[in-house]
Amino acid sequence: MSIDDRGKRQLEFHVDRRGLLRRASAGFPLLSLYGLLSEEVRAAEVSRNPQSPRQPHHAPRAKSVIFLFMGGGPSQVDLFDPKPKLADHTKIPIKLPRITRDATPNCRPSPFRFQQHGESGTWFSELLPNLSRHADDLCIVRSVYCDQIEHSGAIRQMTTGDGVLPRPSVGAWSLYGLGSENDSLPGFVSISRQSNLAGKVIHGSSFLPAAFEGTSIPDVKKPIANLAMPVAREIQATRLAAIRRLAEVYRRRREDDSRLDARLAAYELAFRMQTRAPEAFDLSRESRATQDLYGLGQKDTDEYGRQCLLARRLVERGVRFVVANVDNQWDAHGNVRDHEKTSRQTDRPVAALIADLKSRGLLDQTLVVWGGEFGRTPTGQGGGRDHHPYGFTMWLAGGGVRGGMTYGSTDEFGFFAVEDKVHVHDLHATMLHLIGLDHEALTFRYSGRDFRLTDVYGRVVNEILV
Amino acid sequence: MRMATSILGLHRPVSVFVVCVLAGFAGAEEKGPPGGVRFFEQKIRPVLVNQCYLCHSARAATAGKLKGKLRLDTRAGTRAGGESGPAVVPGKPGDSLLIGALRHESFKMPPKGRLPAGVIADFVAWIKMGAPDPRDGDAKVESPQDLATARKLWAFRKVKRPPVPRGLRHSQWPRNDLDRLVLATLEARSLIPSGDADRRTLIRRATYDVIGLPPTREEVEMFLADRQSGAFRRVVNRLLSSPDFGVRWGRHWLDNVRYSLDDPTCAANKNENFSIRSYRDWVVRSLNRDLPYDEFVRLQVAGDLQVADGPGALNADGLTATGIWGLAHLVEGNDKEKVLADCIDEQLDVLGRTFLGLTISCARCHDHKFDPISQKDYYALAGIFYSSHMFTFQGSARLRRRIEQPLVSDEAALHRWRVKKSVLDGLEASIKALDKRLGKTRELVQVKKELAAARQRQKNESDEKRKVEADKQVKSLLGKVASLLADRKKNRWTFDPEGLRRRVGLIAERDRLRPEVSAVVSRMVMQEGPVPGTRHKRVGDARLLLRGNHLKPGPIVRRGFPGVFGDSVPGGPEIHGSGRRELARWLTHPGHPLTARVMVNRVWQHLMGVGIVETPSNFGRLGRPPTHPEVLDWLAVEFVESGWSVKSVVRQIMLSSVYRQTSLVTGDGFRRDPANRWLSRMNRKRLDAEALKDTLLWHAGQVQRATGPGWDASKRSLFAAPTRSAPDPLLSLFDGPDPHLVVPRRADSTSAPQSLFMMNNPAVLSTARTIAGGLLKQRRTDGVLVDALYRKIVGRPPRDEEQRLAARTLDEAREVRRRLAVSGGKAVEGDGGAWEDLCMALLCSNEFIYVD
Repeated sequence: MSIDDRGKRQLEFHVDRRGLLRRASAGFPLLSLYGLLSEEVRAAEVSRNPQSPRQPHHAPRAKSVIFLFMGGGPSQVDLFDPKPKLADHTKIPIKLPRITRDATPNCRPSPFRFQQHGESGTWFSELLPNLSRHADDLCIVRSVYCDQIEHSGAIRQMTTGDGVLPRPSVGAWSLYGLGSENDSLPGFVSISRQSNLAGKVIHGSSFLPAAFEGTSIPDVKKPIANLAMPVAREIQATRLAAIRRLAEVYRRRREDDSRLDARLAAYELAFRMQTRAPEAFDLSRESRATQDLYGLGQKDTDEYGRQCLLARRLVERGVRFVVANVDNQWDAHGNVRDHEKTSRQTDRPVAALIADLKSRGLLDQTLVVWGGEFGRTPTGQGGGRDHHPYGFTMWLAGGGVRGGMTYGSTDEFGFFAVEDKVHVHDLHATMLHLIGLDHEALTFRYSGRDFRLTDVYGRVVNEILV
Repeated sequence: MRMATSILGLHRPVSVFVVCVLAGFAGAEEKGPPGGVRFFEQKIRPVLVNQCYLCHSARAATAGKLKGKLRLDTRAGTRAGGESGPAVVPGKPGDSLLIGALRHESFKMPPKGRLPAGVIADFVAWIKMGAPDPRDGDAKVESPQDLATARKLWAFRKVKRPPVPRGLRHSQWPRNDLDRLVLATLEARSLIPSGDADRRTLIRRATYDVIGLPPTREEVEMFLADRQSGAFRRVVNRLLSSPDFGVRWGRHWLDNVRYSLDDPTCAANKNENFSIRSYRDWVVRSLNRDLPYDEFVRLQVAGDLQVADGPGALNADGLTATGIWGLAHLVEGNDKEKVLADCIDEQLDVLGRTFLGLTISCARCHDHKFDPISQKDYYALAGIFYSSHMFTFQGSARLRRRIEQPLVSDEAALHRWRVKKSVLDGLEASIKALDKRLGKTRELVQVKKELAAARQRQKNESDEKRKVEADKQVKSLLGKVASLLADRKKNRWTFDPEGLRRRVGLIAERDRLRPEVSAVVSRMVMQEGPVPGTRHKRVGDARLLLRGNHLKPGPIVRRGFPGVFGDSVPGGPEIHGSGRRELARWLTHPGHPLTARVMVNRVWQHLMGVGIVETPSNFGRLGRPPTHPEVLDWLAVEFVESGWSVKSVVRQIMLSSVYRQTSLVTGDGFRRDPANRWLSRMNRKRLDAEALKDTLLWHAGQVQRATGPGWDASKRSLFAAPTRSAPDPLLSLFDGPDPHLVVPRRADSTSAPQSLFMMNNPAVLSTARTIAGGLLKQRRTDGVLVDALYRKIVGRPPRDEEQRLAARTLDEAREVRRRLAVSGGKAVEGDGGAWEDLCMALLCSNEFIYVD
């Protein structure tokens, strides 16, 4: 259904409400009165201005989300989840799951040393010398699992909840739920090279209105499509003035059609974006010290450093959801030591982001999530490790998240998540919860039923919240 | 919440609502303290369902898998407990065995691993509050659907020609019975219909609706000058006979079938010769020659099974039409049974939503929750698709392969092609085998060749430095030769110059054949027979999959059609072969309550902006009921009686007074019917993505209107269609269809990136430049040029006020550009710049993108 139609049908809400009532008294579980009502209001507000800030379901702990997407699948047993037992066994003594790819059942011990850090004594491998300094800010979740074993399906699931069917991404749901706090920047930005693996999935809005699609930035140096003015600013302003005049004449006798004003407003926003977005995307405005902190200008760290720094500049300006994707760099099938390179590329920028957010007082209102579409097998494949959905590590930091905590565990070989398991749906429920949305109440009607990010699953992992 | 309600001005209804809901709750809450049932529903029931029911439920008991005689799917069972005693004692977590089991103290439940501490705490809290539990009585294993009641839903009732209303007040307004039916609805609500739109508006609306492009200036003038009666009918007929009709309406159809040029999720299908274009072109062709819709459906469902004309002929169109079933969007997986089950699910989804307006695929895992489609009905249909195939799963377990067949029209040509193909395949295989065997021989030949060349350089080189280099090379190559010869001795391979000669011959032969084979486009087709490489070994009924899980096959279900249709739609006495022939016949039976209704509703939606059923692919209980059920039935009856002619439905609607109404609000029409549900005016439509793009290209001279033979339609968006891997940015920006999805209705979004596109994209700029350049060639006064510009872009002359505004814009633009030129900024030479500015403003105007 188009959003404008929803807006036009405001008056029908009376009718819907009565229908709702009938259903409620017929014994349907009514999840949250507030939530249900606000979905209607949400629809109405969405139709006026998709970007406008909207009321959350409950008091939010964070205003924005930065999802540091570790594409390719980082190895839990080489980064966060030490498993000395792997060295004692040549063959893994547990029953392997039915669906595996072609990893052998032979253990592969991590070649990297582990050490405890911070007051919390959180474990990190030597691959993360910078991040480990923030041990007490992070909540390491060692028991994440998903249902997909190939990249495209797993990326789909990690970013949309469903591993197979086209669904809106978590960023699109967030923007749909809350709108944006900046009227001259897109509310959802995905910084990710265009890859065949992920395609449009990470920033797609699928059946949600197109306005909630993330703005994709395949190249940090060329941020937004069609942003560059083809003529001088003064000339562009002349054109906008003419557009305004034409709209004014056309709208006479058509005052009933809210789309006309909305479209003119979209031109005004676009004009502001042309003026202000370049500033937001211009990393050269950062001090030398900040640029160094993120490792800009250095071979290994320049690219991801730019992504992280841009992410900070965007959330600072009220952008709701930012994805920074390393794009399959962690996919170490051939050699475990490939993780050394990927760690060099990301460890410093990620640590810098935490430090920078903290020093600007932004960490409290930003949720940072780090993780890939799956982990890697504790057993070997060639000289490396294979894809592994059965138990892997992600971490969260920032607004509402308990720092210095390690939550959940895998078995003694790092194969299956066994304790306090966190499914992708649980992670999504928790992310929405932290920004003030109830994952069970945030729904959108499509194809005859109400869809949710978490389908019919999901549990807010309250244990890791402050 | 206060803010929210005041936006809608809904204070009162909200408060009434709150009171009533609380009252409604009170009944359910009798079994526990307030909030208890909600707590149970939110925190407890999902855990029980997901973690316990597998072994502790009525279903487990039926399957003989009940453990410890404990049932947790009813309140009684939970309280009574199993062999070891009561699982839950309300108010006493300590006495409740369930808690010990969850903590892995007494028992270890669930056995796979302890649940998170927070979940266990929820159970303790729930028992402490008295274990409120609304699950009365016994659990239902299956929910039989009451077909007698279900058949009463409007959508399943027989289509009947409605009586034409008499005694209407606005008797001058209706032009046909359709109008009388709409008028009756309006008058019943004391609404007044609007008059016709002016002719310029009408021809622009009609032209966009039928062919997706604007009218030319000549067409507008001709219509204005035609004062004879039937002028509009002549316009509509002219448009309907244009091949551009199929281009526009073909796209409408393709929205419903997940049309995409590629499928990046299927690695085996990256075959350049392969083409889904054949299916698309067949759709366009069929619409243009007004192929009866029932035949259109039959060919797609079972075209391969239709007998061709004459002996030895192939039903090329019929085979092509089955391409629809190959557009399922799938992710590769290791488990081919799952991939197959998903594939058939996508096929049933298209079958249900596109042809029947029913969400059949909801019944894959359980009986449909709202519509009378049982899980059995689903697998009765699925059996038909399990007995046909489009893919094989032979060879690598991870890949499916499409069945492809060259597009030829007789058996002899097919046979010739197959012979050539098999010769080619044989050649490829021999070359591959030779390559493997001749590896070392080829290496040796190559090294010797390089050696000869190096020796030549050694001899002829005068430059000292390079001579040294050549010496070095010769030395190293000699070493390589020696080591290869040593390797020959050691591993005993023979130097085989004869083999090499043979290889050259084979390659030449292959290169000669290859283009002959690939010159014939091949397309995917559906074939009778079980799916090769899977456990479905013969044509026949399929098994029901418990909870839709392919690892849990249940009982065999006889193939057939959903029971709700009963005997009103005869499905043929029994099924022969896969059952697709019977399915096709069943779908297109004139008495089918859905097939015709669904299609005429789609036509209505494309012309009127909103369907009579607003959810065009869901006529079930969760869809919207029809606003004008009589109109829907009237159109459906006419449709079938006209021989299922799509063009005649389009014509009937367009010639009505309803369609010709102005879109401007008159009187208190808006106040009384803000959403225009009752059609007291025309809906204003935004250009869809393709119409917008094609119009821009048309103005830039890159897209042509259909003119007859030799017409090149290749630039129209339909043919440069999006792929799943690389979507067209303009199309997705303006709500073009996501090729992964069935899109029965486009969204109508308004966003800043759209505006950025219109203001800054080179495509729009070049259109503006072309138009401005064309104007300036005329060397006329500003006023004349503004007039021409308005006629070109919005199809009407400017009013005086607009002339003045245009003059102002031109003045400003010239002034700004003069200033910039003085200050050295960039400005366009001559007067072209200012005209470009005005032109851009018109292309960005609402009047351009909306159709009144």
